[in-house]
Amino acid sequence: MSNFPELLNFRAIFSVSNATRFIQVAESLGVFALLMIVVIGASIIAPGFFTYTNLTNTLITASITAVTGLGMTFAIAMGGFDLSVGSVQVLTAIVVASLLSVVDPPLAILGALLTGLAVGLLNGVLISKLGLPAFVVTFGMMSIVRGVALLVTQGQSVMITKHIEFGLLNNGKILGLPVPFIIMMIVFVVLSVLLKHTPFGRHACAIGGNRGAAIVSGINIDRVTIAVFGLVGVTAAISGVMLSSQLMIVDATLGTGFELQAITVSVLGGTSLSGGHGNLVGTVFAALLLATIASALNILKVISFYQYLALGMLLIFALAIDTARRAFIARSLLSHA
Amino acid sequence: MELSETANRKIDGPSHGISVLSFLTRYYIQSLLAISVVILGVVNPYFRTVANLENILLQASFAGIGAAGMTLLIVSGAFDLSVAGLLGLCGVLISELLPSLGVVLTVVTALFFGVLLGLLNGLVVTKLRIPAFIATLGMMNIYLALAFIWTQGSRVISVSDPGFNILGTGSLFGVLPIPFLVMIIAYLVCYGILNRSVYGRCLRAVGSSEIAARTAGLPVDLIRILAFAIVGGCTALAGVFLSAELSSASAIMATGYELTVIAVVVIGGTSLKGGEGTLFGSFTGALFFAVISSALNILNVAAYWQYVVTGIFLISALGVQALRSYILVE
Amino acid sequence: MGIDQKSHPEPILSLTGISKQFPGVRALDNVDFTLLPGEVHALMGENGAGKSTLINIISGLLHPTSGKICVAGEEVVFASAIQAQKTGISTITQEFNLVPQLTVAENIFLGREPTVRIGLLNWRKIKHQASDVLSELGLNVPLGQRVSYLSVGDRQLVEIAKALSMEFRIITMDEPTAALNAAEVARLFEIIEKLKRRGIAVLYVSHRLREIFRIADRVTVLRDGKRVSTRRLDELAEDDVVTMMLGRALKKEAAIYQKIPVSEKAALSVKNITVPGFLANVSFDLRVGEVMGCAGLVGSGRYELTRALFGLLRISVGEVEINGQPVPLTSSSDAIRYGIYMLPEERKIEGIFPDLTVRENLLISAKRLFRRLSELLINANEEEKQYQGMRNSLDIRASSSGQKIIKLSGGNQQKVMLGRALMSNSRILLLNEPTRGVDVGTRVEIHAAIRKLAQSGYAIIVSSSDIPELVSVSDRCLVLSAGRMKGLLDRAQINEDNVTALAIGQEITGDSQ
Repeated sequence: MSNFPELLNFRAIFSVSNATRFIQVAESLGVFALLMIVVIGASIIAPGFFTYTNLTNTLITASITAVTGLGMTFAIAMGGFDLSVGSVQVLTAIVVASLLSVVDPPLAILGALLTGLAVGLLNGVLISKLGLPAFVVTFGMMSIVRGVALLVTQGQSVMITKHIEFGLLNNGKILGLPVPFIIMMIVFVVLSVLLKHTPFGRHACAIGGNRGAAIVSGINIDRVTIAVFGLVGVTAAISGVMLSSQLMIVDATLGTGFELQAITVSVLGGTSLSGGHGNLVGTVFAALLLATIASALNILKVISFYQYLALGMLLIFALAIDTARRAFIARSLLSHA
Repeated sequence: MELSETANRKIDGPSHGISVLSFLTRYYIQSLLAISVVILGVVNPYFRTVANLENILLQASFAGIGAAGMTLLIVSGAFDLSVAGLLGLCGVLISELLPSLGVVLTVVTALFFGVLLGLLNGLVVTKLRIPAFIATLGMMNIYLALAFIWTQGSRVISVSDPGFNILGTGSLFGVLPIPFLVMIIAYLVCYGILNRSVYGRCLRAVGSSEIAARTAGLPVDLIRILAFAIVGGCTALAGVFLSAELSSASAIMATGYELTVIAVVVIGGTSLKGGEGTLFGSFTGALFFAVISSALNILNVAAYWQYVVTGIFLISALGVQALRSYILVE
Repeated sequence: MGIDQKSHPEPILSLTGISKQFPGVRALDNVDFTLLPGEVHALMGENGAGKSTLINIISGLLHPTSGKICVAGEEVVFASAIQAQKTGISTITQEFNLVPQLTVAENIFLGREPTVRIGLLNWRKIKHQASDVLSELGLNVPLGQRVSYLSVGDRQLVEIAKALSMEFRIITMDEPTAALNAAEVARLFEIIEKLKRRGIAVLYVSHRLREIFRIADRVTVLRDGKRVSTRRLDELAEDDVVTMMLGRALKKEAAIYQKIPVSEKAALSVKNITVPGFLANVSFDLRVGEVMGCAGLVGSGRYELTRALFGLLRISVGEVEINGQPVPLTSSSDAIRYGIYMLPEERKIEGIFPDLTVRENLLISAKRLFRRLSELLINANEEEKQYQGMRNSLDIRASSSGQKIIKLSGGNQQKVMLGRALMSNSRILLLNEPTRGVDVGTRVEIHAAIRKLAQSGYAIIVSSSDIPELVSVSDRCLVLSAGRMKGLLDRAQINEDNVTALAIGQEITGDSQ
């Protein structure tokens, strides 16, 4: 009982598998290729880019962004968003800097991480238990946390004077690689394992990919949501600690626009806003890409404001590509049906 | 088909009587405003002064004017986070044009420019099919960057032209600031658009059910783009008054504007899901925020509390809305 | 008509005295039903006979108003669909419960993934068990393949694999072959045979007689909410089943398909259109003053035809002409511009605007936005008059024009939707299920209104699953089956039997498909 004989030909000519496989591979390679191009281009155009010092700094900047970007990727895979990461970063930077004047680094760092975790969990609870939309909740939280940071510092800077060895977190090297990079790699490995090799990660993707299917499979949506947002909070806190170590003097005006960077590197790295899948490798490459561009522009003495411009345009560009990709897949699946 | 009947039976059924709780949740912002004004007036003598009240009205108008347009946009189901950058860019434009073009022409150009930027926002969201929240976040960066570049880095430019500054500092009968009067007009106009015009009905339809809107043949993209343009225009108008009042403009002159405006709309009672909105609520919300701001000032509470308070209000307002829809359904 | 007494094993599922009452309609009336392990039991019946309701009760999505459900001899009450799943009942529907971005193996184990001690996924076990289950089904798909890359047929099999690995005892399939090609249908049937050998009971809901006879052991026919009979298929012929479904014998007539000479100018001319995935090679002319019925069951393409004509679905091949000129129908705005308007089938999802009032819902399509500067503001008086006019013609029961539409009953909402189409100033109307949810008396009025409109110069297509409706209102009737035109009936030939026969896929002349 053949229903659509002529449509079978369509299928043979245009196999969905091949086309969308191509896209998947292109996604992962695409950002990497772009990165290579930009790095090579930067070395040529910007003298002083390919020096040890500059590369190290670029790597460090990229690592700080990448850590939160990785957390954000996780959240986007679950179909959510966290706009408060910038504020959390600055608050935790202040927390660790302040705590260092009274306790040892390990405890100070722990304090900062717990702060980030607390904010994240709070976000998660408001979003899941009260059913409030993620965008606006984290948008409001962004303001609250920033306000708290301002209040705590009263607009003053916090300088790290005791335990100056804390700066090693930024300046130190392990096996020739900057410590921030190592930290980022650790976060990358942990999150990769979580996302791909634990039920938790798979459940998060399921919620983002097909919420109905997740519910029917008995997945506890609330619990996973709260945990994921808590995770994002922790990654923002790690970034905050790294930032604090880098600057050694922090104030509450830092970190503005950080959430934009985190979202940009996630989307640019190939994670689709529609959820269900997170490209962590892509996020790392995208963070390196962003940092490389910023570094090259710095060397070329391009005003930093052009970098803001570039960031905004890059985000729009990445989002437009995401949309096009989704439309392409939808269309090819339909003609295949 | 039978299943969907059952699942939606609650909605099809007859309405329940209005209880006290549902009245309060319906008019909570007006109640809140009244209560806070009364309490503050009793507790603090300075609060009661005409000067302070005039200042409250003035401060309310900056966010309020922007909120009028934003209410319409949210009713259609979208958001615009770029307004802070948009306002800054308009402010900078005003400072550049004022010396050469004079007051009237400058204002007109600024408004036109705001509308243009709004259209751009609308195009990015509809034609590139990017979720409004994120698209406008990106546009915000772009506008801010442009404003920075133009002013070579957050440089504050003076905007002093007595004919222009009077717009920000002048008042009628010594108590009603000009921006406030314009705010009233803006709200009346927006109210007319939302509730009395065909376009307003289309706006509400698109926010209520985009799928049904397409099936009914409504030009959804056009409707959305126009809503963004209205937000752009309102924001530019607010920028005119803000730069007039401050006698200056800079790229960051309106940092946090998007938060305040959206908080005002949400607190005013307009649902984030779209489909229906209350301009009266946004108006009240703007006043309420100004009252709280003023109170924090008078009580010598650090300005930083502003951020915390705004955020908390935003989230609580969401909670109240959720409560309200829960009550209505039961 | 008794339940077959010959089988020895205990029924895996038995329903006794199940009734389901909705406001105004008794969907199921005292139905007894048993399902034996290892059998394929077909469920048949016309639209509205109660099939969907019965399935939903078995899956735990609906509660019966009265009656008892027993699974493996124990009485159960399903609080939710998840609970039904826990007792071993799986339901496979058109919208699969798969996560497209996850792999086949991950989907099979979603929610119950085996782990090793430190909490990581036990890939070895997953691969092992998944490939066991897949090879048992003969599904030749790599485990690591993302589900989004699979065809519809493959996805269905992954769902079955999931059910199998969760050791379900009962699998319900609702129109499973609607989106499959011949090869996939054959594969599905092989798999169903394997399920049978495993002792799993399959409840197979379909209207496709040929398939039922191929795959099922017993068939239960429902009509008007009651169980008509349950018989073994090897004791029946196709005609017997159709008789049970309709309640009387089907009268066959010869030579149905007739080309109408295109001498009169057609309002709408459809020439060999193909909608990828749904329709192939459909042609007909719609004349001014005519009501053309459109019949077809689930999967026939009937739903997609009106959507394509309204610009909501892509027409890849063929042309649509209006007054002799080919028109591009790439969006609903295009269609409206050329004078076509559609009443959607699912008013809850794509019809009503829940936040708007009755009047607003009625008049939303009345004026094209920004067409005339004079029409920017709402003229309340004029609109109220229009509302009153429509209220009278269609007898809309609403407390006032300003009432929120969601407060109206379903039937009245439908009338408002119909009114919206009527007020749209389009001369070509595509009405999908125009009397859904409407009571009998009003239905007659609506049919009369449709006929009157046609007489006054409209060209109307009525697409409906209600065959008596089509019979009473159509001048001609198009019948679709499996994406193709099975017949274009003249007024004289339009009767329930002919339409049903063509729609079911039985050639009246007796040819096999």
